[in-house]
Amino acid sequence: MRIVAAAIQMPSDLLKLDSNLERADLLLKEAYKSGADLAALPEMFNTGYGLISDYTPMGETLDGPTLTHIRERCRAWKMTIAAGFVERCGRHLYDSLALCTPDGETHVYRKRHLVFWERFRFRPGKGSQVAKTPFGRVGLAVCADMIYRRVWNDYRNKIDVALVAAAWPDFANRHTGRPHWLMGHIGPLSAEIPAKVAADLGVPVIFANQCGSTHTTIPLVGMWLAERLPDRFAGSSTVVDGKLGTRVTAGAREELVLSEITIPSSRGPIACHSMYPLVPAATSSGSAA
Amino acid sequence: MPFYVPVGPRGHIFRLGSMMIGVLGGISYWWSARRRPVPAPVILKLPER
Repeated sequence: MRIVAAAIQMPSDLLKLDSNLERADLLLKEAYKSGADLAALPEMFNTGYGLISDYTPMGETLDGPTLTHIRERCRAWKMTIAAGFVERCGRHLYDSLALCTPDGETHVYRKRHLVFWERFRFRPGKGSQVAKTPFGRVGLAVCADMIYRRVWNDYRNKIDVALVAAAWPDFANRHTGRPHWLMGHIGPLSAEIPAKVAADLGVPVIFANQCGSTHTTIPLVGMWLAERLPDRFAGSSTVVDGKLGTRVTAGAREELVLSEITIPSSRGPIACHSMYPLVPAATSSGSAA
Repeated sequence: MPFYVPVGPRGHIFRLGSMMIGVLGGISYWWSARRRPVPAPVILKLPER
Protein backbone atom coordinates (compact mmCIF):
# COMPACT_ATOMS: atom_id res chain seq x y z
CA MET A 1 0.00 0.00 0.00
CA ARG A 2 1.28 3.45 -0.88
CA ILE A 3 0.18 6.74 0.61
CA VAL A 4 1.38 10.33 0.42
CA ALA A 5 3.00 11.60 3.62
CA ALA A 6 3.77 15.20 4.50
CA ALA A 7 6.23 16.54 7.06
CA ILE A 8 5.45 20.17 7.78
CA GLN A 9 8.48 22.22 8.75
CA MET A 10 7.55 25.60 10.17
CA PRO A 11 8.71 28.20 12.66
CA SER A 12 6.43 28.89 15.62
CA ASP A 13 6.39 32.16 17.53
CA LEU A 14 6.42 31.66 21.27
CA LEU A 15 2.94 32.01 22.81
CA LYS A 16 1.30 33.27 19.59
CA LEU A 17 -1.31 30.59 19.22
CA ASP A 18 -3.46 32.29 16.58
CA SER A 19 -0.69 33.12 14.13
CA ASN A 20 0.95 29.71 14.58
CA LEU A 21 -2.33 27.92 13.89
CA GLU A 22 -2.89 30.11 10.85
CA ARG A 23 0.59 29.34 9.49
CA ALA A 24 0.12 25.62 10.09
CA ASP A 25 -3.29 25.73 8.43
CA LEU A 26 -1.85 27.19 5.22
CA LEU A 27 0.77 24.45 5.07
CA LEU A 28 -1.80 21.77 5.88
CA LYS A 29 -3.97 23.08 3.07
CA GLU A 30 -1.01 22.87 0.70
CA ALA A 31 -0.44 19.28 1.82
CA TYR A 32 -4.12 18.48 1.29
CA LYS A 33 -4.06 19.97 -2.22
CA SER A 34 -0.99 17.87 -2.98
CA GLY A 35 -2.89 14.73 -2.05
CA ALA A 36 -1.39 14.01 1.37
CA ASP A 37 -3.05 11.24 3.37
CA LEU A 38 -0.93 11.71 6.47
CA ALA A 39 0.60 14.99 7.67
CA ALA A 40 2.79 15.74 10.66
CA LEU A 41 3.26 19.09 12.40
CA PRO A 42 6.23 19.78 14.72
CA GLU A 43 6.40 19.49 18.50
CA MET A 44 4.51 22.32 20.23
CA PHE A 45 3.76 23.89 16.86
CA ASN A 46 0.91 25.94 18.32
CA THR A 47 2.56 27.45 21.41
CA GLY A 48 6.11 27.65 20.17
CA TYR A 49 8.96 25.91 21.95
CA GLY A 50 11.08 27.64 24.58
CA LEU A 51 11.58 28.16 28.28
CA ILE A 52 8.81 30.32 29.70
CA SER A 53 7.84 30.71 33.33
CA ASP A 54 4.64 28.72 33.08
CA TYR A 55 2.92 26.74 30.31
CA THR A 56 -0.30 26.32 32.33
CA PRO A 57 -2.35 28.88 30.35
CA MET A 58 -1.30 27.14 27.13
CA GLY A 59 -2.22 23.65 28.31
CA GLU A 60 -5.16 22.09 26.47
CA THR A 61 -7.29 19.03 26.90
CA LEU A 62 -8.38 16.94 23.93
CA ASP A 63 -11.35 19.30 23.56
CA GLY A 64 -9.13 22.38 23.43
CA PRO A 65 -9.03 24.80 20.49
CA THR A 66 -5.98 23.28 18.79
CA LEU A 67 -7.14 19.69 18.58
CA THR A 68 -10.73 20.73 17.81
CA HIS A 69 -9.39 22.68 14.84
CA ILE A 70 -7.13 19.81 13.73
CA ARG A 71 -10.02 17.32 13.97
CA GLU A 72 -12.19 19.59 11.83
CA ARG A 73 -9.47 19.63 9.19
CA CYS A 74 -9.10 15.84 9.37
CA ARG A 75 -12.82 15.36 8.78
CA ALA A 76 -13.10 17.95 6.01
CA TRP A 77 -9.97 16.90 4.13
CA LYS A 78 -10.04 13.16 4.92
CA MET A 79 -6.49 13.37 6.22
CA THR A 80 -4.77 11.93 9.25
CA ILE A 81 -2.90 14.71 11.05
CA ALA A 82 -0.38 14.58 13.88
CA ALA A 83 0.36 17.69 15.90
CA GLY A 84 2.46 18.48 18.96
CA PHE A 85 0.77 20.44 21.74
CA VAL A 86 0.91 21.12 25.48
CA GLU A 87 -1.54 18.75 27.10
CA ARG A 88 -3.18 19.51 30.41
CA CYS A 89 -4.58 16.69 32.47
CA GLY A 90 -5.71 17.74 35.94
CA ARG A 91 -2.75 19.39 37.66
CA HIS A 92 -0.27 18.03 35.17
CA LEU A 93 1.21 19.29 31.91
CA TYR A 94 2.65 17.04 29.20
CA ASP A 95 4.65 17.66 26.04
CA SER A 96 2.28 15.61 23.86
CA LEU A 97 1.70 14.54 20.30
CA ALA A 98 -1.86 13.92 19.08
CA LEU A 99 -2.74 11.88 16.03
CA CYS A 100 -6.22 12.66 14.72
CA THR A 101 -7.93 10.53 12.09
CA PRO A 102 -10.69 11.48 9.62
CA ASP A 103 -13.23 9.36 11.52
CA GLY A 104 -12.74 11.42 14.68
CA GLU A 105 -10.33 9.27 16.69
CA THR A 106 -7.59 11.01 18.65
CA HIS A 107 -4.53 9.16 19.95
CA VAL A 108 -2.19 10.95 22.31
CA TYR A 109 1.44 10.19 23.04
CA ARG A 110 3.19 11.92 25.94
CA LYS A 111 6.92 12.58 25.51
CA ARG A 112 8.87 10.16 27.65
CA HIS A 113 12.36 11.64 27.55
CA LEU A 114 12.24 15.24 28.67
CA VAL A 115 15.54 17.07 28.22
CA PHE A 116 17.05 20.33 29.44
CA TRP A 117 14.43 22.76 30.76
CA GLU A 118 11.49 20.56 29.69
CA ARG A 119 11.66 18.48 32.87
CA PHE A 120 11.13 21.69 34.88
CA ARG A 121 7.84 22.37 33.08
CA PHE A 122 6.38 19.00 32.05
CA ARG A 123 5.70 15.57 33.43
CA PRO A 124 7.20 12.68 31.44
CA GLY A 125 4.93 10.18 29.72
CA LYS A 126 5.00 6.57 30.80
CA GLY A 127 4.86 4.49 27.66
CA SER A 128 4.90 4.18 23.92
CA GLN A 129 1.80 4.71 21.79
CA VAL A 130 0.74 2.77 18.72
CA ALA A 131 -2.18 4.42 16.94
CA LYS A 132 -4.29 2.24 14.69
CA THR A 133 -5.23 4.09 11.51
CA PRO A 134 -6.88 3.04 8.23
CA PHE A 135 -3.47 2.55 6.64
CA GLY A 136 -1.69 0.83 9.50
CA ARG A 137 -0.21 1.12 12.95
CA VAL A 138 1.60 4.40 13.62
CA GLY A 139 4.26 4.58 16.32
CA LEU A 140 4.58 8.02 17.86
CA ALA A 141 7.60 9.78 19.35
CA VAL A 142 8.58 13.34 20.23
CA CYS A 143 11.99 14.91 19.56
CA ALA A 144 14.61 13.64 22.05
CA ASP A 145 12.73 10.34 22.37
CA MET A 146 14.27 9.28 19.10
CA ILE A 147 17.81 9.32 20.46
CA TYR A 148 16.99 6.56 22.96
CA ARG A 149 17.31 2.93 21.96
CA ARG A 150 14.42 1.70 24.09
CA VAL A 151 11.91 3.83 22.18
CA TRP A 152 12.64 2.01 18.91
CA ASN A 153 13.01 -1.37 20.59
CA ASP A 154 9.49 -0.90 21.97
CA TYR A 155 8.17 -0.28 18.45
CA ARG A 156 10.11 -3.01 16.67
CA ASN A 157 7.72 -5.31 14.70
CA LYS A 158 4.73 -3.49 16.17
CA ILE A 159 4.31 -0.54 13.81
CA ASP A 160 3.87 0.13 10.08
CA VAL A 161 4.86 3.81 10.17
CA ALA A 162 6.97 5.84 12.62
CA LEU A 163 6.09 9.47 13.18
CA VAL A 164 8.24 11.94 15.09
CA ALA A 165 7.35 15.55 15.89
CA ALA A 166 10.28 17.66 17.01
CA ALA A 167 11.70 21.00 18.01
CA TRP A 168 15.26 19.79 17.57
CA PRO A 169 17.87 22.54 17.84
CA ASP A 170 21.08 22.83 15.87
CA PHE A 171 23.09 23.32 19.10
CA ALA A 172 25.26 25.90 17.36
CA ASN A 173 25.47 29.66 17.73
CA ARG A 174 23.26 30.98 14.93
CA HIS A 175 25.43 34.08 14.51
CA THR A 176 28.84 32.44 14.39
CA GLY A 177 27.92 28.86 13.45
CA ARG A 178 30.12 27.58 16.28
CA PRO A 179 28.79 24.31 17.71
CA HIS A 180 28.08 24.06 21.43
CA TRP A 181 30.99 22.39 23.31
CA LEU A 182 28.87 19.55 24.62
CA MET A 183 25.83 19.26 22.38
CA GLY A 184 27.25 20.45 19.05
CA HIS A 185 27.34 16.96 17.54
CA ILE A 186 23.71 16.26 18.52
CA GLY A 187 22.18 18.80 16.10
CA PRO A 188 23.08 16.99 12.84
CA LEU A 189 21.67 13.72 14.23
CA SER A 190 18.18 15.04 13.50
CA ALA A 191 18.78 14.26 9.83
CA GLU A 192 20.46 10.90 10.44
CA ILE A 193 18.22 9.18 12.98
CA PRO A 194 15.03 8.99 10.84
CA ALA A 195 16.96 7.26 8.03
CA LYS A 196 18.52 4.85 10.50
CA VAL A 197 15.15 4.00 12.04
CA ALA A 198 13.63 3.42 8.59
CA ALA A 199 16.42 1.02 7.65
CA ASP A 200 16.46 -0.69 11.03
CA LEU A 201 12.71 -1.16 11.54
CA GLY A 202 11.88 -1.44 7.84
CA VAL A 203 9.07 1.11 8.06
CA PRO A 204 8.57 4.61 6.66
CA VAL A 205 9.54 7.44 9.01
CA ILE A 206 8.00 10.91 9.02
CA PHE A 207 9.99 13.49 10.94
CA ALA A 208 8.56 17.01 11.27
CA ASN A 209 10.83 19.57 12.88
CA GLN A 210 10.55 23.26 13.67
CA CYS A 211 12.76 25.82 11.95
CA GLY A 212 13.78 29.37 12.78
CA SER A 213 15.46 30.96 15.77
CA THR A 214 15.46 29.66 19.31
CA HIS A 215 17.42 29.94 22.53
CA THR A 216 18.69 26.64 23.83
CA THR A 217 18.70 26.64 27.60
CA ILE A 218 20.73 23.93 29.25
CA PRO A 219 20.27 24.04 33.02
CA LEU A 220 23.11 22.83 35.25
CA VAL A 221 25.45 21.30 32.67
CA GLY A 222 25.64 24.31 30.40
CA MET A 223 25.24 26.83 33.18
CA TRP A 224 28.75 28.23 32.94
CA LEU A 225 29.21 28.16 29.18
CA ALA A 226 25.87 28.34 27.46
CA GLU A 227 22.97 28.93 29.75
CA ARG A 228 21.12 30.63 26.92
CA LEU A 229 22.65 29.79 23.56
CA PRO A 230 21.40 31.89 20.59
CA ASP A 231 20.52 28.85 18.54
CA ARG A 232 18.21 27.85 15.70
CA PHE A 233 16.15 24.76 15.04
CA ALA A 234 17.85 22.17 12.86
CA GLY A 235 15.05 21.86 10.29
CA SER A 236 15.89 18.81 8.13
CA SER A 237 12.34 17.47 8.30
CA THR A 238 12.32 14.16 6.51
CA VAL A 239 10.10 11.54 4.94
CA VAL A 240 11.90 8.24 4.47
CA ASP A 241 10.54 5.14 2.78
CA GLY A 242 11.89 2.18 4.72
CA LYS A 243 11.23 -0.28 1.92
CA LEU A 244 12.52 1.62 -1.11
CA GLY A 245 15.10 3.61 0.83
CA THR A 246 14.03 6.91 -0.73
CA ARG A 247 14.39 9.97 1.40
CA VAL A 248 13.19 13.55 1.03
CA THR A 249 14.70 16.09 3.42
CA ALA A 250 13.99 19.77 3.97
CA GLY A 251 16.54 22.53 4.38
CA ALA A 252 16.55 24.96 7.28
CA ARG A 253 13.58 27.12 6.26
CA GLU A 254 9.79 26.75 6.26
CA GLU A 255 8.99 23.90 3.92
CA LEU A 256 6.51 21.19 3.13
CA VAL A 257 8.16 17.81 2.60
CA LEU A 258 5.97 15.51 0.52
CA SER A 259 6.72 11.97 -0.50
CA GLU A 260 5.02 8.71 -1.29
CA ILE A 261 5.72 6.01 1.26
CA THR A 262 5.22 2.26 1.17
CA ILE A 263 3.25 0.81 4.07
CA PRO A 264 4.51 -2.72 4.61
CA SER A 265 1.95 -5.44 5.16
CA SER A 266 1.53 -6.02 8.90
CA ARG A 267 4.04 -8.42 10.36
CA GLY A 268 3.86 -10.27 13.65
CA PRO A 269 1.25 -9.84 16.35
CA ILE A 270 -0.59 -6.54 16.51
CA ALA A 271 0.48 -5.22 19.88
CA CYS A 272 -0.76 -1.94 21.20
CA HIS A 273 1.30 -0.34 23.96
CA SER A 274 -1.30 2.30 24.55
CA MET A 275 -1.12 4.50 27.57
CA TYR A 276 -4.88 4.65 27.57
CA PRO A 277 -7.72 2.41 26.54
CA LEU A 278 -9.83 3.45 23.57
CA VAL A 279 -12.64 5.18 25.37
CA PRO A 280 -14.74 8.25 24.57
CA ALA A 281 -12.98 11.61 24.84
CA ALA A 282 -15.22 12.76 27.66
CA THR A 283 -13.73 10.18 30.01
CA SER A 284 -10.13 10.00 28.85
CA SER A 285 -7.22 12.34 28.33
CA GLY A 286 -5.64 9.91 25.95
CA SER A 287 -6.90 7.95 23.00
CA ALA A 288 -10.48 8.69 22.19
CA ALA A 289 -12.94 7.28 19.74
CA MET B 1 24.19 1.85 25.93
CA PRO B 2 20.87 3.73 26.11
CA PHE B 3 21.45 5.71 22.92
CA TYR B 4 20.21 4.62 19.51
CA VAL B 5 23.11 6.36 17.79
CA PRO B 6 26.68 6.77 19.02
CA VAL B 7 27.09 10.06 20.86
CA GLY B 8 30.73 9.66 21.82
CA PRO B 9 32.43 10.13 25.18
CA ARG B 10 30.41 13.27 25.75
CA GLY B 11 27.39 10.98 26.01
CA HIS B 12 28.44 10.24 29.58
CA ILE B 13 28.31 13.94 30.45
CA PHE B 14 24.96 14.15 28.69
CA ARG B 15 23.64 11.22 30.73
CA LEU B 16 24.95 12.63 33.98
CA GLY B 17 23.49 16.05 33.17
CA SER B 18 20.16 14.48 32.20
CA MET B 19 20.07 12.62 35.52
CA MET B 20 20.73 15.80 37.49
CA ILE B 21 18.12 17.68 35.48
CA GLY B 22 15.71 14.79 35.99
CA VAL B 23 16.03 15.00 39.76
CA LEU B 24 16.10 18.78 40.18
CA GLY B 25 13.58 19.38 37.38
CA GLY B 26 11.31 16.75 38.86
CA ILE B 27 11.34 18.47 42.25
CA SER B 28 10.75 21.85 40.65
CA TYR B 29 7.92 20.46 38.51
CA TRP B 30 6.31 18.68 41.46
CA TRP B 31 6.36 21.93 43.48
CA SER B 32 4.71 23.85 40.62
CA ALA B 33 2.13 21.13 39.95
CA ARG B 34 1.10 21.08 43.61
CA ARG B 35 0.18 24.75 43.44
CA ARG B 36 -1.55 24.47 40.07
CA PRO B 37 -5.32 24.55 40.45
CA VAL B 38 -7.25 21.55 39.19
CA PRO B 39 -9.65 22.68 36.44
CA ALA B 40 -13.29 22.60 37.42
CA PRO B 41 -15.07 19.52 36.08
CA VAL B 42 -17.41 20.02 33.16
CA ILE B 43 -21.00 19.67 34.32
CA LEU B 44 -23.40 18.28 31.76
CA LYS B 45 -27.05 19.16 32.08
CA LEU B 46 -29.13 16.27 30.88
CA PRO B 47 -32.72 16.87 29.78
CA GLU B 48 -35.32 15.73 32.27
CA ARG B 49 -37.45 12.79 31.28
